[in-house]
Amino acid sequence: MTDIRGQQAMGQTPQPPGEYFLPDVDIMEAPNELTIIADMPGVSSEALDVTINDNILTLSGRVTMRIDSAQKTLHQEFSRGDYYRQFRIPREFAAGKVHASLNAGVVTVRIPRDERTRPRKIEIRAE
Amino acid sequence: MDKTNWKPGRQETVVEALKNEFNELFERFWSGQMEPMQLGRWAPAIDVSETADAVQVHVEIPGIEPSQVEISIEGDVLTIRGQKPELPRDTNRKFLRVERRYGTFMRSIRLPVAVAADQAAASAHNGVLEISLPRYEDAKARKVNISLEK
Repeated sequence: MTDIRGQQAMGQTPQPPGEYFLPDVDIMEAPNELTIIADMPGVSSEALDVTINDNILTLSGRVTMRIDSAQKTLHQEFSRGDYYRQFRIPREFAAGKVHASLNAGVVTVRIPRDERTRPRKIEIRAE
Repeated sequence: MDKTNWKPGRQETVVEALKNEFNELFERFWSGQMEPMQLGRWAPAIDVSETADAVQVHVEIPGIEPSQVEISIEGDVLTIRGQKPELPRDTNRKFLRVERRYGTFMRSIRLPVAVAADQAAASAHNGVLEISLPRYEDAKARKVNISLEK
């Protein structure tokens, strides 16, 4: 599981917006799947793109918040910006059906392990 | 969240963490009044903006149930407390990366104008909490005529 930054993945992956935030992620590996959980507050399901191209996972989300021109900012710690982050998925995961869900600004991506790549015990028969 | 240049997780010892927290509190004490105060290991980011009628506070709370957040106003201080539950530990699962923050948080900010606390409203959308605090009627621009004594 490699975090890709600074280098562009080739092919049909969404291109990063000019300036963007890297969402914080947790990544867990279980025997049957890989789970990626990303905090992307402010992103709605229509504004979220999760793609896997070859073995590159791209998380891309636009933050759509109405900005009232009559509003005057008094104190700002987070900007209205888009999120973008890419990961290189190990080959043994990249083949199966990927599930992605969004709940309360948290994106969960579940990538099943390709059964063919599971470690197997090979029986040795005595001749 | 840091813009583009993500920093790997910092490892602090308990003593360092306490020292840093104390230093921060000390610095905040002497700095401007809009500086929000926080206690705990992490705190959600807050934006404060105002219109002619209201003060709006946006708080990033991804993955936190609104029912797990407590909002209170005391005088001109708005306090937000909450908890982000940790992911269940499972011996079958191996954590490869943990960047998201968990646990309890508490933040207080001094509001710039007097607000009608009893008319405050809060809602959460896509992990962003929005608190709307109408300005106190009496605090809206008042024109006071002062007659000169002759």
